[in-house]
Amino acid sequence: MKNAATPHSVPEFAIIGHPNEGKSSVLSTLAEDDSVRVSPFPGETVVCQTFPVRIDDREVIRFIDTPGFQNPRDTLEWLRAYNGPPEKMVSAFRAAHAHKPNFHDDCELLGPVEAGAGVIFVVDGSRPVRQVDLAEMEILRLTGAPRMAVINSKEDDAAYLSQWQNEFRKNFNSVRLFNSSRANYRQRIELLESLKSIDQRLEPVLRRVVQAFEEDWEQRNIRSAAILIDLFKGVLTYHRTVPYKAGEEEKLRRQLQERFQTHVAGQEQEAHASIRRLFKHNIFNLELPPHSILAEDLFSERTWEFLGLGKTQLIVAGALGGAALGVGIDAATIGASFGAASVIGGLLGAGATALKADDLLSGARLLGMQLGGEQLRLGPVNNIQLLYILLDRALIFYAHVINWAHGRRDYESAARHGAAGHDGKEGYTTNWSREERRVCERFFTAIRHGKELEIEDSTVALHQLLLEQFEQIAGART
Amino acid sequence: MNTRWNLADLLDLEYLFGRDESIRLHEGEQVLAKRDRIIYLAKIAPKLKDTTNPSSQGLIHRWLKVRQHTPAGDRENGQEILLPGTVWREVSAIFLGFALLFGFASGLGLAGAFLVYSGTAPLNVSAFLGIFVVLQLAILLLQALLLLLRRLKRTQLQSSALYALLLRLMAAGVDWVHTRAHRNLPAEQRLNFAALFGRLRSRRAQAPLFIWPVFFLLQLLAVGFNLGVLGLTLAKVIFSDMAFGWQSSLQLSAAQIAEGVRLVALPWGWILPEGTGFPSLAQIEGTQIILKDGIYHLATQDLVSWWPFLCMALLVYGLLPRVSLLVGGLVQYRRQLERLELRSPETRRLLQRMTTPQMETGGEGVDDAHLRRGVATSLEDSMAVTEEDSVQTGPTVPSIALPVQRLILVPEELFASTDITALQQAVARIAGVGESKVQALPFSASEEQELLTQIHAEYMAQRLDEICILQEAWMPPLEETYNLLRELRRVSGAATPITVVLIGKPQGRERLTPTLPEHAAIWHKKMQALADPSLDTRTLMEVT
Repeated sequence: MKNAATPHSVPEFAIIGHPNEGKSSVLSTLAEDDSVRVSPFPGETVVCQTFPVRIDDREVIRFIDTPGFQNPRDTLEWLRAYNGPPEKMVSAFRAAHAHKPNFHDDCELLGPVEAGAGVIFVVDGSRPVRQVDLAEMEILRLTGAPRMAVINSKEDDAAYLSQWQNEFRKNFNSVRLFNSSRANYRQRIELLESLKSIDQRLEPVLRRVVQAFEEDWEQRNIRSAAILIDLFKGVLTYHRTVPYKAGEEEKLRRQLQERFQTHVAGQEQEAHASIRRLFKHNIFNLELPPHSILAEDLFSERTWEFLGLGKTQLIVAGALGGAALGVGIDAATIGASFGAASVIGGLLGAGATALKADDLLSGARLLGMQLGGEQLRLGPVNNIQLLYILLDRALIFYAHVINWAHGRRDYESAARHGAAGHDGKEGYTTNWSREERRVCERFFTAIRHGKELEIEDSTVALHQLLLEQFEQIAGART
Repeated sequence: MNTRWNLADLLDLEYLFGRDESIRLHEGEQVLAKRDRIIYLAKIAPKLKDTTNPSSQGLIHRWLKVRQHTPAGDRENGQEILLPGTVWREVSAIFLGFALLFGFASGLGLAGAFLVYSGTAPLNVSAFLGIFVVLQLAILLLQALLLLLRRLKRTQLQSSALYALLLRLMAAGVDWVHTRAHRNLPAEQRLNFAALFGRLRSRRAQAPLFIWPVFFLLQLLAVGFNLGVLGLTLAKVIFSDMAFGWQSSLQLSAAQIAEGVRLVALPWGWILPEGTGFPSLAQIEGTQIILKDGIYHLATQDLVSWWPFLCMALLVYGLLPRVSLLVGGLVQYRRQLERLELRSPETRRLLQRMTTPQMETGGEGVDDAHLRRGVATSLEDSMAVTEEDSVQTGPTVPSIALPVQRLILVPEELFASTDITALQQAVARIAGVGESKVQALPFSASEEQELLTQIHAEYMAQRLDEICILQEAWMPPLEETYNLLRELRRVSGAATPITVVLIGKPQGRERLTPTLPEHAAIWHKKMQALADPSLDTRTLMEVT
């Protein structure tokens, strides 16, 4: 068999099934390739198409998309009546039907089987089993190809699952449930793991594939964390100083503020785009419903209220952060209304914090802008809240990106119903432990004070914290 | 009497069917059923009293006439909709008139430019004949030759190596384009194209009819041209002094020319003899132009002896063939229209809607009696029925809904779990009353073959009027499905209606469930792609 020819050969799997059962969708998710054409119309796939999975430019596994069976009954009857050597059966069938246009799809889909590919037989688990399905299973059994059945449960309909599982047990070495539009990284790995069981000879090579997948995933997380830390550093150290003339301060202040907003939004977009690319999403982009936290402008009232620490937590953080917090509240005026909210919070919770509200309201200091003298200075930001907001947004973005299956194509519905993975009003950081927050505060303070060693240490800690968070998010939906 | 369709009616019918399809999709079949039953009861049935067995074509034609004259029912945004047939009629009348006029004007112009005589040299007869007669004849001959070639093409040309090569190249080219397009188009577009071509192919019987208008246009153009030339020649002869002569550098004798002229004039020679209908030998001798000698020696009576010949030649070789082609074409066209029998799923549904009594359960029942009573009022709103019409709707409406002998095929895997009586009733609701026989459709090929043989026998014994085949809409149709339908068509004759009846996913023990609209739409298009005018796709249960 081609798959097991050498331990270093690239294993090949053909995704086979009845038309419109979601073969292309399963393949798209498995190969993390959103360029696979998926549609609700039968007959989307006309010819076999190979989708290699590359890790570090090395091909590790190959999936082949195939058209659906068009003549399962007649194909089966032909195979049953076949008398020649069994290993030549598929090629004999293809030769005998090569010139029949109505058998084009059947010949095409059996091509990879003839070439020795393993078979992933995909069915839609939300419908009952029919005679054509039994015929298709029998065809695959007769070909002798190592095969696994995947029940693609397109809908949350389990009425026919047991019926399918019963039938599959008779014909397949392995059966797995797999929702091609909801499956995440872990479920993909599990599916690959179970491919091992369909043929012993495949085991060593597949073990390496799974290992490569896992390493690759780890790398993606490490790179994502690095991208995010770069973003935080860039935003938190941002500062501009401009000379100003009397009477222009209001205008200048507005300009500076706008420039800062554009800078933060731009940096963040860039970082998110890099993460999106790491996870091989070309079409999917985070388009959240209008009321979701992420759709809110970073500086709008809602975002400030929902993201980052809660009011009380902020005040506690203020106490921990010491004097920095007082100035920090001024930073809150980036979103003027949050400022008000946190001020109210401050008033309620901690007197020391609340006292600074006067500064805020007087407008004498904004974002660390010194309004006296002849220079107007903006930044660096001295409210840790911005870090929490960026963290929350990044984590929510990450959760969406890793949980959006590549075979899922209802991009519009995601925008309508809100993407999966995060349904809370609050961000992730709200639930962080004191120790976790401490890591953030250390990082924030180090960045502000610019002590090299401290920056390095705290960056490593934050990096580690992010990796842990990524892991938690990935595990949350398995 | 046969129903005679015309192109305007065919266009209107297609258009109205299109509108009805959108009504069916948005408001449901029931709305159409009620409307067409009302049309039938109020406007058609009263006029059928004397007819014992009205033809289906006649019924459709009458229905069309009612729909064409009920503008109230076809308003959109408060504006009356112009039916395409009306547009066609007007546009084609304008075009035909224009062709005649244009031909006439160009005939006048060309003849005017040619027939200029200043007294210095007589007009050259051979040039006149060449331009106005021979050229036209040549064009006619060329057309006839092309027609002949096209007929021959299929038989003789195939043996030609060059032709075979060209055909191969073309086929390969088409194949290449098709394969590329096929691979690159998304399934939805591919399906839509296939359905569109299927629909067009299923109407191939009507296609030649639409070539005739172009034919008539060309003939009228030619008739106009000949009339123009003839008119101007006659006018010139009557109102001015014309002289015709002949010349040649070849040493042709006058006798040879006279023989040629006599032969050309044969068709009218018997009625207009030599000297009147065509010039005599003496007259021909007297009109030979030899430029170095001048024309002064030529006698005037000889010089004018040519014009009747020229006019008759124009009439016989120019005008008459065109007129006869026009008349012949018209006769042929009418014959084709008379022979035309509209067979499409839409016409069948319409007939069935008109002839099936309306039964509604629940709420205020609407049956035929109710409908008849309500006809006057409802029609006044929607179709401007006259007082006279509504009075005539008595209780003696002739029923033409003859029960049909219907075979319902149910896939064997569904057969045991399907409530047969409920199925029969449901099918009767969508396909009309009938004597239904329900039979299992086997999965195995050999058993399917036995069933097909049996169906063929029933068809031959005239015990089969219609076939319905139950299919689950959520399973997309396969090549095997198309094969089965083609086989069914083969064994049951070209015109036996075959209806694919769609059901949805089983709900508990219930098998006869409504289908999802997107599944039904896929089936509908896939079936249209088969281009079988007697194949229809229906959903068994409407979504409630």
